[in-house]
Amino acid sequence: MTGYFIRRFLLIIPTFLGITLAVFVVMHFVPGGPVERQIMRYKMAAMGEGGGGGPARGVEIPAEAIEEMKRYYGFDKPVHVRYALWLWNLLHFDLGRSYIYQDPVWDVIKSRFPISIFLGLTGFVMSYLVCVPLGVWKAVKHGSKLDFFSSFTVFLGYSIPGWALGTALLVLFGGGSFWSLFPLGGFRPDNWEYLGFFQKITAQIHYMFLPVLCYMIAEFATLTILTKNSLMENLGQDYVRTAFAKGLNERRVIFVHALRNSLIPIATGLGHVISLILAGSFLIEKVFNIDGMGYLGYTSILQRDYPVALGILVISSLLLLVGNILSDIVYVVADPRIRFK
Amino acid sequence: MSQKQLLLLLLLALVLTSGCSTSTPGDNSGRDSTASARTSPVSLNKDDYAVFQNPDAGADPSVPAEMGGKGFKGEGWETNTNFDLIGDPRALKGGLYREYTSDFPGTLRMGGPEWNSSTNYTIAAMVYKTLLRIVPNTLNYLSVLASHWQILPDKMTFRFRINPNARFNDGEPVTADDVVASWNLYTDKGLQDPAAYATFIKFEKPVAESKYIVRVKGKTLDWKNFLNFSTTMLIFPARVLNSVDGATYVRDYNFKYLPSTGPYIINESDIQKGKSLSVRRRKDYWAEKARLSAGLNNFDEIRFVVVRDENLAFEQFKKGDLDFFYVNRSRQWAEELNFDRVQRGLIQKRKVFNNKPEGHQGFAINTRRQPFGDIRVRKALTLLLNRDLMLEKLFFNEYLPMNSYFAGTIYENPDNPRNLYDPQAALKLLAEAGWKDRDEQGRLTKGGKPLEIELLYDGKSFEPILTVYQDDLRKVGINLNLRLVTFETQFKLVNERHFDLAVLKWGAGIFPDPEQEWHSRLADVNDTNNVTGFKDPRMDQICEKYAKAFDLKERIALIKELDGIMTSQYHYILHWYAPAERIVYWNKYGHPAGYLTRTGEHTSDILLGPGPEQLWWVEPEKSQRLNQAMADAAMKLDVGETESRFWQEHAKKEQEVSPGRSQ
Repeated sequence: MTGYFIRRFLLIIPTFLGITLAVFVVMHFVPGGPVERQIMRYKMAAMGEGGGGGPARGVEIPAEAIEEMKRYYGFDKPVHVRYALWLWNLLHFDLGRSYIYQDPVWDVIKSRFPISIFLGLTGFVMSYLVCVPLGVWKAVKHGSKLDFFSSFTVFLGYSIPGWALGTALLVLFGGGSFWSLFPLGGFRPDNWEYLGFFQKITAQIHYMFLPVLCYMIAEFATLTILTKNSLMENLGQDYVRTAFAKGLNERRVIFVHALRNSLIPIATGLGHVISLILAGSFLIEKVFNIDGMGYLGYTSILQRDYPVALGILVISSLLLLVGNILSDIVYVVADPRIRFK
Repeated sequence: MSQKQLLLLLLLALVLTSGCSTSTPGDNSGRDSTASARTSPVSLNKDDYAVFQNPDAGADPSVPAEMGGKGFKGEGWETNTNFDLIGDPRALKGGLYREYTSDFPGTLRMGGPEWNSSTNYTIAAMVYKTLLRIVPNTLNYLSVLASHWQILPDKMTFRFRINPNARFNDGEPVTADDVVASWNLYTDKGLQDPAAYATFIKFEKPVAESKYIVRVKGKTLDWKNFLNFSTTMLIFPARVLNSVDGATYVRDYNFKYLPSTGPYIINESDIQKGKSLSVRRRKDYWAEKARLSAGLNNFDEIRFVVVRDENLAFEQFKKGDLDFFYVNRSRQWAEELNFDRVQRGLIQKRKVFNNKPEGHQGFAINTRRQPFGDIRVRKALTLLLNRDLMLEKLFFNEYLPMNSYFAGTIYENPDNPRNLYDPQAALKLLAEAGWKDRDEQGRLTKGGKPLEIELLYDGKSFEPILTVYQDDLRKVGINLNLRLVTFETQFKLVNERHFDLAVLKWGAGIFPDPEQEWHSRLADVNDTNNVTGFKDPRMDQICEKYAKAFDLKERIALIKELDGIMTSQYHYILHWYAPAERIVYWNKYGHPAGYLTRTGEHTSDILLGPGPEQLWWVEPEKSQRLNQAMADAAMKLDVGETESRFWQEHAKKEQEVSPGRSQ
């Protein structure tokens, strides 16, 4: 089996090259690259609904200035040379500089890690803490009114888009229109540095309660129902009947025997925990005005900040590829019946 | 969301969050306590405010008078000592003003990649200064860093005499060398700023004749050269720039500060990347007492809070986390701004009509493609756009039909055609152009081919308009295919002239620059602003004449003529424009009578001039009453007139005094 995992690790290399090459080529040819974007910004004013157009800074841009810009952004070279150069720098752990933020890409991405980890980790822990017990409880009480009502609730959460819920919650509880219970967006208060340890905890909960709720609202349904169905399937198995037959109490049968087996499909997701450092959601971050990874990733594509977009791609694809293998390892550990060759 | 769901959520959240509240809507006490009280009556007479106070006080005694030093009389030089006050001298200093920006600027450089964001334009207006600036009311030049200027008889060489009192924020005097160094920076290719490069490479290298006199020669005869050099080039200190070239500036000065000459500065501690940015008022601004500053630059701190979502920003404004909000959408103005705090006057709602520059928005027609080469077809398509209906049904009558390429400005030609919706007239024109037969589907045909048009657009927000137009065209037998593309794709297609019709919107400056969009030499090449293929010999003549017209009145007359030519050629199916700036703000401010300047927008701008950030001030009495009203839900404050037509009336009066100056 070791051979299998070594092969899997080696396969990361061509997969990674394939992913980055494809994205790199698309980025090279899509209209509105950094050079065009600069020209566009000089030529056209902002779009708006009714007019009142901003001041025009329109000037005819001399060809030599455009050539100079192409050189600056590296677009004077053919795409394969640019890719090779980028790869070479990557091997030296140099992701380049952001076109938009002007800082090294790694610094730009790194500065979002605390937000991602916070969102990802709380979302992850909370959903396991809530969903697994809820799923077990629902499986045991299958068919009851409470089972029905909780299913209704989690599916309701599943069907409401997180950002729409966020907008509604902010209007209701942000203090602009109705009740003032939560701050109107932001990750932390402005006076964060001056707060004591416990104040920091309360402030962080106060600021992040709504975003985290919206971020994971859809997750509840999947994990809860997965736990429930998986457990119910196990409860119908022969070995459970045997366990009951030999006189074990219900608690022991469910939690020791059945639950352990039914957690296998859930445990396999654990391998992807390492991707949490890139967790984020563009829409939720936009609605709650949080400067996180989702927002960074999306705007880097939109604003053609290629070094940042590629930087996120590199990190996320590596994490995903490694995460897949880790998941398989977890699988093997959790279920001794599985053998990879 | 249904009521039940809402109730459920409400309950859920209430249970979960009780006790979490730290701030209440009325919690804005003490925020504006810094504004100092007025002590004595203030003169509103401009002559009580010296243009140059102690003009020689800061002059270097070693520089002779004829070289601009001590005792310089300004004979043979121009200057402006007859301008009206821009601000209101009754203004009080102090307080905080908070507005939002939808993105944190990627850099605070004043040139190079990514510098050109609207936040940076506002910062530039407050932190940096240019040699001269434009008086927003009269559009004359006004001394700032340069006290005097000369346009030599060749009209290509300009001389500027630096005000010896002008200082950088570190106390060092501004000199002619600084002007030369700033020009060097802007024309350095390493700066990666094609617009600045294109603008300033039109000059030969400036020459410092003395410590205070600088001479520069343009390569072409164009009044815009004088305008650009004097009013758009920010002046940075030579002593720093001598060791910082363009590339270094781009790399190292993104959030590093070059000494500046304006009334505000940015402290490093006020830069919270991604969150907010403040500029602070200097207590030692060199031109504080001069007439050009009277009543301006009042707030101690102006904070730009980054809010990425417009709806969230609106909520923050309503809560009191922001002081000012610019209303961009007519629906929001008409339907979302009638709540209690607006009705009680806590939040003021104003629609300020003025002569701010107006670009043009419409369907650009590619006249190189058939049948759009035929003016009758273009005119027919124009008459089929039912603007009045759209303005009423979609835009709450907030906008006016645009019948000029300079709508609502001093350049608008009042004799332009109105182009009211008229399908009958349109059909007649189409029939004259040969489109009179119909196929079995009822479509108009010519030589057996149906009339089919493709329209490019780049945002779903246009769709309500486009579908109405599509429907109206279908009724007369024309097929309009709507093609939604990204902004980038549309830009590319339009620049390469691969389109029939495209929704386009252009911005405008105080002084129009028609050549780029209308000169025939740009009609048949890629990547120009002449996207419709406009060719007209008279237009070319006007463009060439315009460049040489240093006199504003002459230029206004030329642009009016040109506006007439452009509208009579039907190259754009023009849409509509907003004749006013719609703004809302908390009721605690004093402001000049017109709220904004005559040409200004809702925010300060390096070219358009001061906005509320510089014109307004905290009025302690109002601020106090606002705090009381926040606590007392029964208390009502003065709601005031929603519409301010101060500048329109001003223009009317001006018209009576000297006809021809204004619209």
